[in-house]
Amino acid sequence: MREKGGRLSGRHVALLAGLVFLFLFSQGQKHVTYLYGGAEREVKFLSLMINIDKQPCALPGEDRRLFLRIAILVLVNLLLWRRLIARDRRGIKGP
Amino acid sequence: MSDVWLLARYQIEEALAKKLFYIVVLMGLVLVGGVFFANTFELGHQGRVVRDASLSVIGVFSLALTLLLTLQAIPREIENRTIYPILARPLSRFQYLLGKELGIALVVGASLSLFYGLLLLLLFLKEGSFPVPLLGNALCNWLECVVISSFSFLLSVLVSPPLNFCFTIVAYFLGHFPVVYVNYILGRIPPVSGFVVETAKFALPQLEYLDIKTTLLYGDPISPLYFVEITLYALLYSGVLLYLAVLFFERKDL
Repeated sequence: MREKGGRLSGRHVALLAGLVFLFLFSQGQKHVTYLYGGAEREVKFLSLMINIDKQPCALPGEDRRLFLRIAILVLVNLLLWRRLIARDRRGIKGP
Repeated sequence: MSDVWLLARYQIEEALAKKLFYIVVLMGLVLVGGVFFANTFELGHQGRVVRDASLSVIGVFSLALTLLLTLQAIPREIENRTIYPILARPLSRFQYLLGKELGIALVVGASLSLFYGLLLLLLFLKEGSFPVPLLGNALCNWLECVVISSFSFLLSVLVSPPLNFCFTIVAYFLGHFPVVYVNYILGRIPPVSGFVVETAKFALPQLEYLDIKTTLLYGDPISPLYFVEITLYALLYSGVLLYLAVLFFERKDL
Protein backbone atom coordinates (compact mmCIF):
# COMPACT_ATOMS: atom_id res chain seq x y z
CA MET A 1 0.00 0.00 0.00
CA ARG A 2 2.99 2.27 0.15
CA GLU A 3 4.27 4.39 -2.63
CA LYS A 4 7.07 6.95 -2.66
CA GLY A 5 8.10 6.55 0.96
CA GLY A 6 4.70 6.02 2.52
CA ARG A 7 2.76 8.61 0.57
CA LEU A 8 -0.82 7.69 -0.27
CA SER A 9 -1.62 7.77 -3.94
CA GLY A 10 -5.07 8.76 -5.18
CA ARG A 11 -5.76 5.17 -6.20
CA HIS A 12 -5.02 3.91 -2.69
CA VAL A 13 -7.23 6.54 -1.10
CA ALA A 14 -10.06 5.63 -3.48
CA LEU A 15 -9.58 1.91 -2.75
CA LEU A 16 -9.61 2.42 1.01
CA ALA A 17 -12.60 4.76 0.83
CA GLY A 18 -14.43 2.21 -1.33
CA LEU A 19 -13.72 -0.59 1.13
CA VAL A 20 -14.92 1.49 4.05
CA PHE A 21 -18.06 2.43 2.16
CA LEU A 22 -18.77 -1.19 1.22
CA PHE A 23 -18.26 -2.25 4.82
CA LEU A 24 -20.64 0.41 6.08
CA PHE A 25 -23.18 -0.38 3.41
CA SER A 26 -23.12 -4.11 4.12
CA GLN A 27 -23.28 -3.59 7.88
CA GLY A 28 -25.59 -0.71 8.19
CA GLN A 29 -28.40 -1.12 5.70
CA LYS A 30 -31.73 -1.39 7.40
CA HIS A 31 -35.37 -1.16 6.65
CA VAL A 32 -37.35 1.70 8.06
CA THR A 33 -41.09 1.45 7.81
CA TYR A 34 -43.25 4.53 7.97
CA LEU A 35 -46.99 4.75 8.23
CA TYR A 36 -48.17 7.46 5.90
CA GLY A 37 -51.74 8.05 4.80
CA GLY A 38 -52.80 4.65 6.11
CA ALA A 39 -50.24 2.85 3.94
CA GLU A 40 -46.89 1.46 4.97
CA ARG A 41 -43.87 2.63 3.09
CA GLU A 42 -40.45 1.23 3.53
CA VAL A 43 -37.19 3.09 3.16
CA LYS A 44 -33.82 1.41 3.05
CA PHE A 45 -30.87 3.51 4.02
CA LEU A 46 -27.58 3.37 5.82
CA SER A 47 -28.19 3.03 9.51
CA LEU A 48 -25.36 5.45 10.15
CA MET A 49 -27.08 8.05 8.04
CA ILE A 50 -30.69 7.77 9.12
CA ASN A 51 -31.80 6.87 12.59
CA ILE A 52 -35.36 8.03 12.47
CA ASP A 53 -36.62 4.79 13.97
CA LYS A 54 -34.51 5.15 17.09
CA GLN A 55 -36.41 5.97 20.21
CA PRO A 56 -35.54 9.15 22.05
CA CYS A 57 -32.96 8.24 24.64
CA ALA A 58 -30.86 9.77 27.36
CA LEU A 59 -27.50 11.15 26.32
CA PRO A 60 -24.81 8.48 26.55
CA GLY A 61 -22.56 10.70 28.62
CA GLU A 62 -25.10 11.44 31.31
CA ASP A 63 -23.68 9.00 33.77
CA ARG A 64 -20.87 8.87 36.30
CA ARG A 65 -18.48 7.37 33.76
CA LEU A 66 -18.03 10.69 31.99
CA PHE A 67 -17.12 12.39 35.28
CA LEU A 68 -14.72 9.55 36.03
CA ARG A 69 -13.09 9.89 32.61
CA ILE A 70 -12.74 13.66 32.98
CA ALA A 71 -11.22 13.27 36.46
CA ILE A 72 -8.71 10.68 35.24
CA LEU A 73 -7.83 12.80 32.20
CA VAL A 74 -7.26 15.90 34.37
CA LEU A 75 -4.84 13.91 36.53
CA VAL A 76 -3.05 12.33 33.56
CA ASN A 77 -2.72 15.72 31.81
CA LEU A 78 -1.36 17.37 34.94
CA LEU A 79 1.19 14.62 35.42
CA LEU A 80 2.32 14.52 31.80
CA TRP A 81 2.36 18.17 30.80
CA ARG A 82 4.06 19.44 33.98
CA ARG A 83 7.23 17.61 32.98
CA LEU A 84 7.14 18.66 29.36
CA ILE A 85 6.39 22.33 30.05
CA ALA A 86 9.12 22.49 32.71
CA ARG A 87 11.61 21.02 30.24
CA ASP A 88 10.43 23.37 27.50
CA ARG A 89 10.98 26.36 29.83
CA ARG A 90 14.51 25.19 30.54
CA GLY A 91 15.09 25.48 26.82
CA ILE A 92 15.62 21.87 25.82
CA LYS A 93 14.35 21.62 22.28
CA GLY A 94 14.10 17.95 21.55
CA PRO A 95 16.94 15.38 21.37
CA MET B 1 2.92 31.27 21.56
CA SER B 2 3.62 33.50 18.55
CA ASP B 3 5.65 30.65 17.04
CA VAL B 4 2.69 28.30 17.49
CA TRP B 5 0.39 30.83 15.85
CA LEU B 6 2.84 31.23 12.94
CA LEU B 7 2.89 27.46 12.42
CA ALA B 8 -0.90 27.36 12.63
CA ARG B 9 -1.10 30.03 9.93
CA TYR B 10 1.36 28.05 7.81
CA GLN B 11 -0.84 24.97 8.23
CA ILE B 12 -3.96 26.96 7.28
CA GLU B 13 -2.27 28.28 4.14
CA GLU B 14 -1.14 24.76 3.26
CA ALA B 15 -4.70 23.46 3.66
CA LEU B 16 -6.11 26.27 1.54
CA ALA B 17 -3.62 25.46 -1.22
CA LYS B 18 -5.07 21.95 -1.61
CA LYS B 19 -7.54 21.46 -4.45
CA LEU B 20 -8.96 18.38 -2.76
CA PHE B 21 -9.87 20.50 0.28
CA TYR B 22 -12.13 22.71 -1.85
CA ILE B 23 -13.62 19.68 -3.60
CA VAL B 24 -14.54 18.04 -0.28
CA VAL B 25 -16.02 21.29 1.12
CA LEU B 26 -17.97 21.89 -2.09
CA MET B 27 -19.27 18.30 -2.15
CA GLY B 28 -20.36 18.66 1.47
CA LEU B 29 -22.20 21.90 0.73
CA VAL B 30 -23.87 20.40 -2.35
CA LEU B 31 -25.00 17.34 -0.39
CA VAL B 32 -26.28 19.42 2.57
CA GLY B 33 -28.23 21.54 0.10
CA GLY B 34 -29.26 18.49 -1.92
CA VAL B 35 -30.91 16.82 1.05
CA PHE B 36 -33.39 19.72 1.19
CA PHE B 37 -34.36 19.35 -2.42
CA ALA B 38 -34.57 15.55 -2.40
CA ASN B 39 -38.26 14.76 -2.23
CA THR B 40 -37.90 11.14 -1.11
CA PHE B 41 -38.84 11.57 2.50
CA GLU B 42 -42.26 13.20 2.35
CA LEU B 43 -43.60 10.75 4.88
CA GLY B 44 -44.66 12.89 7.79
CA HIS B 45 -41.23 13.00 9.43
CA GLN B 46 -39.70 15.17 6.75
CA GLY B 47 -38.27 17.87 8.97
CA ARG B 48 -36.53 15.37 11.19
CA VAL B 49 -35.29 13.22 8.31
CA VAL B 50 -33.89 16.26 6.51
CA ARG B 51 -32.09 17.43 9.65
CA ASP B 52 -30.83 13.94 10.40
CA ALA B 53 -29.49 13.41 6.90
CA SER B 54 -27.92 16.89 6.77
CA LEU B 55 -26.22 16.46 10.12
CA SER B 56 -24.94 13.03 9.06
CA VAL B 57 -23.55 14.47 5.82
CA ILE B 58 -21.81 17.22 7.81
CA GLY B 59 -20.40 14.59 10.22
CA VAL B 60 -19.02 12.45 7.39
CA PHE B 61 -17.52 15.40 5.51
CA SER B 62 -15.94 16.96 8.59
CA LEU B 63 -14.31 13.59 9.31
CA ALA B 64 -13.12 13.35 5.70
CA LEU B 65 -11.65 16.87 5.89
CA THR B 66 -9.89 16.12 9.16
CA LEU B 67 -8.33 12.96 7.74
CA LEU B 68 -7.40 14.71 4.51
CA LEU B 69 -5.55 17.43 6.40
CA THR B 70 -3.99 15.31 9.14
CA LEU B 71 -2.86 12.08 7.47
CA GLN B 72 -0.23 13.70 5.25
CA ALA B 73 0.63 16.76 7.36
CA ILE B 74 3.81 15.40 8.96
CA PRO B 75 4.86 12.61 6.52
CA ARG B 76 4.76 15.01 3.56
CA GLU B 77 6.89 17.58 5.37
CA ILE B 78 9.45 14.88 6.18
CA GLU B 79 9.36 13.57 2.61
CA ASN B 80 9.70 17.06 1.07
CA ARG B 81 12.31 17.96 3.69
CA THR B 82 10.44 21.17 4.53
CA ILE B 83 10.39 20.10 8.17
CA TYR B 84 14.16 20.59 8.62
CA PRO B 85 14.32 24.39 8.30
CA ILE B 86 11.35 24.62 10.67
CA LEU B 87 12.92 22.38 13.32
CA ALA B 88 16.28 24.11 12.93
CA ARG B 89 14.70 27.24 14.39
CA PRO B 90 14.49 27.68 18.18
CA LEU B 91 11.24 25.81 18.26
CA SER B 92 10.35 22.73 20.28
CA ARG B 93 8.63 19.78 18.67
CA PHE B 94 5.75 20.35 21.06
CA GLN B 95 5.25 23.83 19.56
CA TYR B 96 5.50 22.37 16.07
CA LEU B 97 2.80 19.77 16.71
CA LEU B 98 0.60 22.21 18.63
CA GLY B 99 0.80 24.69 15.74
CA LYS B 100 -0.19 22.02 13.23
CA GLU B 101 -3.03 20.82 15.43
CA LEU B 102 -4.29 24.36 15.98
CA GLY B 103 -4.16 25.13 12.24
CA ILE B 104 -6.16 22.02 11.35
CA ALA B 105 -8.68 22.68 14.13
CA LEU B 106 -9.22 26.21 12.77
CA VAL B 107 -9.60 25.05 9.15
CA VAL B 108 -12.08 22.32 10.13
CA GLY B 109 -13.90 24.83 12.35
CA ALA B 110 -14.22 27.26 9.44
CA SER B 111 -15.50 24.48 7.15
CA LEU B 112 -18.03 23.41 9.79
CA SER B 113 -19.18 27.04 10.03
CA LEU B 114 -19.84 26.97 6.28
CA PHE B 115 -21.77 23.68 6.49
CA TYR B 116 -23.86 24.78 9.47
CA GLY B 117 -24.37 28.26 7.99
CA LEU B 118 -25.90 26.71 4.87
CA LEU B 119 -27.97 24.27 6.93
CA LEU B 120 -29.37 27.01 9.17
CA LEU B 121 -30.06 29.26 6.19
CA LEU B 122 -31.97 26.53 4.37
CA LEU B 123 -33.90 25.64 7.53
CA PHE B 124 -34.72 29.33 8.01
CA LEU B 125 -36.01 29.57 4.43
CA LYS B 126 -38.05 26.38 4.87
CA GLU B 127 -39.41 26.82 8.39
CA GLY B 128 -39.01 30.53 9.10
CA SER B 129 -36.90 30.11 12.24
CA PHE B 130 -33.30 29.35 13.12
CA PRO B 131 -33.01 26.03 14.98
CA VAL B 132 -30.31 27.32 17.35
CA PRO B 133 -29.92 24.00 19.29
CA LEU B 134 -28.33 22.54 16.15
CA LEU B 135 -25.29 24.68 16.92
CA GLY B 136 -24.66 22.35 19.87
CA ASN B 137 -24.09 19.62 17.30
CA ALA B 138 -21.61 21.90 15.52
CA LEU B 139 -19.56 22.11 18.71
CA CYS B 140 -19.71 18.32 19.07
CA ASN B 141 -18.62 17.85 15.43
CA TRP B 142 -15.69 20.19 15.94
CA LEU B 143 -14.61 18.50 19.18
CA GLU B 144 -14.82 15.12 17.46
CA CYS B 145 -12.57 16.42 14.67
CA VAL B 146 -10.07 17.75 17.22
CA VAL B 147 -9.90 14.34 18.94
CA ILE B 148 -9.61 12.50 15.62
CA SER B 149 -6.87 14.83 14.37
CA SER B 150 -4.89 14.36 17.61
CA PHE B 151 -5.28 10.59 17.28
CA SER B 152 -4.17 10.73 13.66
CA PHE B 153 -1.21 12.99 14.52
CA LEU B 154 -0.04 10.49 17.12
CA LEU B 155 -0.27 7.67 14.60
CA SER B 156 1.36 9.70 11.82
CA VAL B 157 4.51 9.84 13.96
CA LEU B 158 4.46 6.06 14.43
CA VAL B 159 3.08 4.44 11.27
CA SER B 160 2.70 5.03 7.53
CA PRO B 161 -0.30 7.05 6.23
CA PRO B 162 -2.30 4.02 4.95
CA LEU B 163 -2.02 2.29 8.33
CA ASN B 164 -2.80 5.56 10.06
CA PHE B 165 -5.97 5.88 7.96
CA CYS B 166 -7.09 2.34 8.83
CA PHE B 167 -6.38 2.67 12.57
CA THR B 168 -8.05 6.07 12.80
CA ILE B 169 -11.17 4.82 11.02
CA VAL B 170 -11.29 1.78 13.33
CA ALA B 171 -10.88 4.04 16.39
CA TYR B 172 -13.64 6.30 15.04
CA PHE B 173 -16.12 3.45 14.73
CA LEU B 174 -15.11 1.83 18.03
CA GLY B 175 -15.47 5.26 19.64
CA HIS B 176 -19.03 5.47 18.36
CA PHE B 177 -19.83 1.92 19.46
CA PRO B 178 -22.64 2.37 22.01
CA VAL B 179 -21.94 1.53 25.66
CA VAL B 180 -25.19 -0.47 25.69
CA TYR B 181 -23.74 -2.89 23.15
CA VAL B 182 -20.47 -3.13 25.09
CA ASN B 183 -22.39 -4.02 28.25
CA TYR B 184 -24.33 -6.62 26.28
CA ILE B 185 -21.08 -8.18 25.03
CA LEU B 186 -19.50 -8.04 28.50
CA GLY B 187 -22.32 -10.15 29.90
CA ARG B 188 -21.62 -12.93 27.39
CA ILE B 189 -17.84 -13.32 27.46
CA PRO B 190 -15.37 -14.60 30.08
CA PRO B 191 -14.23 -12.02 32.69
CA VAL B 192 -10.65 -11.91 31.34
CA SER B 193 -11.81 -11.01 27.81
CA GLY B 194 -14.34 -8.67 29.37
CA PHE B 195 -11.53 -6.82 31.15
CA VAL B 196 -9.66 -6.42 27.83
CA VAL B 197 -12.80 -5.13 26.07
CA GLU B 198 -13.62 -2.73 28.91
CA THR B 199 -10.04 -1.40 29.07
CA ALA B 200 -9.98 -0.90 25.29
CA LYS B 201 -13.31 0.90 25.40
CA PHE B 202 -12.11 3.10 28.24
CA ALA B 203 -8.79 3.92 26.58
CA LEU B 204 -10.13 4.71 23.11
CA PRO B 205 -11.77 8.09 22.49
CA GLN B 206 -15.39 7.83 23.64
CA LEU B 207 -16.89 9.63 20.66
CA GLU B 208 -20.35 8.41 21.60
CA TYR B 209 -20.42 11.18 24.22
CA LEU B 210 -20.14 13.71 21.41
CA ASP B 211 -23.05 12.20 19.48
CA ILE B 212 -26.03 14.29 20.55
CA LYS B 213 -27.79 14.14 17.19
CA THR B 214 -30.64 11.81 18.17
CA THR B 215 -31.37 13.75 21.33
CA LEU B 216 -31.42 17.01 19.36
CA LEU B 217 -33.66 15.60 16.64
CA TYR B 218 -36.27 14.50 19.15
CA GLY B 219 -36.15 17.93 20.79
CA ASP B 220 -35.01 16.63 24.17
CA PRO B 221 -33.34 19.29 26.32
CA ILE B 222 -29.57 19.15 26.78
CA SER B 223 -28.07 20.78 29.83
CA PRO B 224 -25.38 23.45 29.18
CA LEU B 225 -23.29 21.59 31.78
CA TYR B 226 -23.20 18.60 29.43
CA PHE B 227 -21.51 20.75 26.77
CA VAL B 228 -18.95 21.90 29.33
CA GLU B 229 -18.28 18.28 30.29
CA ILE B 230 -17.85 16.98 26.76
CA THR B 231 -15.66 19.97 25.82
CA LEU B 232 -13.45 19.23 28.81
CA TYR B 233 -13.39 15.55 27.97
CA ALA B 234 -12.47 16.08 24.31
CA LEU B 235 -9.78 18.71 24.99
CA LEU B 236 -8.22 16.72 27.83
CA TYR B 237 -8.21 13.56 25.74
CA SER B 238 -6.58 15.46 22.87
CA GLY B 239 -4.05 16.78 25.38
CA VAL B 240 -2.98 13.26 26.31
CA LEU B 241 -2.76 12.24 22.64
CA LEU B 242 -0.74 15.35 21.81
CA TYR B 243 1.63 14.63 24.69
CA LEU B 244 2.19 11.09 23.42
CA ALA B 245 2.70 12.42 19.89
CA VAL B 246 5.33 14.89 21.18
CA LEU B 247 7.02 12.09 23.13
CA PHE B 248 7.34 9.82 20.08
CA PHE B 249 8.13 12.72 17.74
CA GLU B 250 11.06 13.78 19.93
CA ARG B 251 12.46 10.25 19.73
CA LYS B 252 12.16 10.25 15.95
CA ASP B 253 15.51 10.63 14.25
CA LEU B 254 15.13 13.62 11.92
